[in-house]
Amino acid sequence: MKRIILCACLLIFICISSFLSLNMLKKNTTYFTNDLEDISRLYELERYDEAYRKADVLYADWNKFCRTASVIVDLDRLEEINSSFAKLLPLINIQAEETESEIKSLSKRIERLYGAEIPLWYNVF
Amino acid sequence: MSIVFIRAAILYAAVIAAVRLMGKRQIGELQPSELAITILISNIATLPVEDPSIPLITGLVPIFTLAALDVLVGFWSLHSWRVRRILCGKPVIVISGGVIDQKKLKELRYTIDDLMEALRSYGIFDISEVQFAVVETTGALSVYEKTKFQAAEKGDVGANANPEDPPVIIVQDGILIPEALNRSAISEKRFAEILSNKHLKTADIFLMSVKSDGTFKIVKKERQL
Repeated sequence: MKRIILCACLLIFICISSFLSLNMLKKNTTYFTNDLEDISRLYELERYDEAYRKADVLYADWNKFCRTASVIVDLDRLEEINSSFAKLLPLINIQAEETESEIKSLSKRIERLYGAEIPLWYNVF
Repeated sequence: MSIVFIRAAILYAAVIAAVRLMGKRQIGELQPSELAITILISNIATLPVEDPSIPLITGLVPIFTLAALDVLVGFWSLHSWRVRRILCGKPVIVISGGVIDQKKLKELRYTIDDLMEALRSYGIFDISEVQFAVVETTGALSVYEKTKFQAAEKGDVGANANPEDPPVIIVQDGILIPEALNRSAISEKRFAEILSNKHLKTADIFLMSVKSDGTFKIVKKERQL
């Protein structure tokens, strides 16, 4: 009977942990995508210094988040976003044409992080 | 390399824990569902070891989920014969009244070679000696010989057939097993007396077993050179 109770508790623990990790992922990805939107807006308004500073802070936050996220998300997906972030700062600095598209692409990749973890039928299959 | 080493150690512990969680049945004969789970768990465990970019949790969660589900489904099958039938199937009689059921053998894809091999493992080389044979859900064959070919037992020849428990091992590799001593036919005091008479300490004993009539067998440790 102890084994049954232990197994039931284990399954409940796994379910709760996956729900909490999904929640954490959603909260953080929303924060990053919102800030990327702000950076994009600032860039459009030609407030390049502010955009750069915000991007710099966001990159630092991303590095911190990356460590926690690597426990639940594939490292390959995080590496893609890492290199995108690394490209973003110089692009904003030199006010390159590709900056806007890079921000959009980065935002999509971060959204996909959470999107790929939701237990919907197409993700499961 | 150190990361792979640590991951392998963690996954090894996880697999052992999962197998222990599933219980002794996993170590003994396996039902088809249990075999499937065991193979799955061992395959899943290799993925995070081979590829360090995969989170360790991707290995740990399925291992423990499968183990826990196996235990819960096993518990359910204990209380429901329908679930048991679905998961384990049912034993099939392949020899009845000394006659081989060839149709059942064909359904099981059990060849005559397989049947003879299984019979030989019971020391039966002549199929005409078999009264009844069943292929269990694990795939093993259980055999019941015809009466005239069955080995004589103590009761048949009128020998002493009083019920007897098997010998209990009370000392193993120099360590006394208290639960075993309590189950054995000798007391702690008698154990101390035996050691004293033989001028031995517990640490000097490799193996000590006690029969139900109180007789014992001691194997001393070999001297280390």
